[in-house]
Amino acid sequence: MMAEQAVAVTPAPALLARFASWMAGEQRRIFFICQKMLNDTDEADSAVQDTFFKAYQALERHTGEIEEPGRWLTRIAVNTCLDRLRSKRWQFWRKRPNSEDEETILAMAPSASPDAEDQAFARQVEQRLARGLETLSGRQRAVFTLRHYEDRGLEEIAQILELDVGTVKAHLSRALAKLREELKDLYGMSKNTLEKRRK
Amino acid sequence: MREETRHWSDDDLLRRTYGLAGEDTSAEAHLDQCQECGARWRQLQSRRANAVSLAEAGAVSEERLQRQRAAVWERIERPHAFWLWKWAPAAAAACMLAAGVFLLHPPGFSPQPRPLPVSTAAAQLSDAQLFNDVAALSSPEAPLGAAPIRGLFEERRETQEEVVF
Repeated sequence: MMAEQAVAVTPAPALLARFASWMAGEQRRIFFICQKMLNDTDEADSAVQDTFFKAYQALERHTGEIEEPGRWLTRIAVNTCLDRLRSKRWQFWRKRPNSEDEETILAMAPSASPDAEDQAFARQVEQRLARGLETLSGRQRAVFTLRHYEDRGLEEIAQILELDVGTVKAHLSRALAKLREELKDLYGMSKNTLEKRRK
Repeated sequence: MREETRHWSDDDLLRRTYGLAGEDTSAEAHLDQCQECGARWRQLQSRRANAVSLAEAGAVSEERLQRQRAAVWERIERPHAFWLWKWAPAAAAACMLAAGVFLLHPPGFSPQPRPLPVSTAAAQLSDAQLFNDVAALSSPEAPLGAAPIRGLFEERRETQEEVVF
């Protein structure tokens, strides 16, 4: 089924020639993935820089074609984040999300909405979800991030992470079990949602 | 197996949202037929889209993205400086090691000549010489041929001692 789909193939030199515009186009998405995986804005900054730098170096060496450049870049970003999560130094210096960052994010979020209260609550749940992500393993976090925020299919996630689909399903299933309460609140399923909303 | 007449639980909805329920044509039929489950499903999808777009909207400012791009280009255009910084700790450690060696052994310092090791002198002897030397060490001080003469002197000393007493 996947083989029947048209695969976007780009020659590496062509991608290198328009690297600046390609980076600008993909940067926000890559930063978002890194931020969700690392739950730290500064670390995500560094991870994004590493990702694009590695991509540039790889394109310089590679003379062939890159299948699905976006997916290829996502793989580099996820692996960069996994490396950072594995790093003991990162574990040691790892810190809770900065409250100033959270306030900045809240201030930047659009507020002119028909239901501002709902959005404020959604942001609260989003923050809880971000903290909940910290309880997941690196792989679980990567699978959940790609599925939840990027809406990628399980087969695609398997290709990005170079895992089989069964393993991806197992990781996702465990992630959902751990984030069950946060997700239920996010989707308004929890019985306590209304009470929490009033607080 | 879940009965098609039963409403989907929250967990069913979550698993289905994240693609863990598997492809099931009867699920589509259930969503069409069951008004309650259909409404919950649509609400969940709408909330999910809203939550994700909300998270993306506040994720990063354009200024931060510009700074990131500038940092990436700086690293790309000055790779040598980057490698230099990467090797800086190793270079610093090597310098400290060299300084330590310099302090322990300054240029004017000339150590005493070492004595020739004993093993070197022993190695210069032939096997025959070595055997003779070892045999001499294990034998008594006087040669065996001198024993009778020594015996005479011993007897004479004893007789002299008897005379004295």
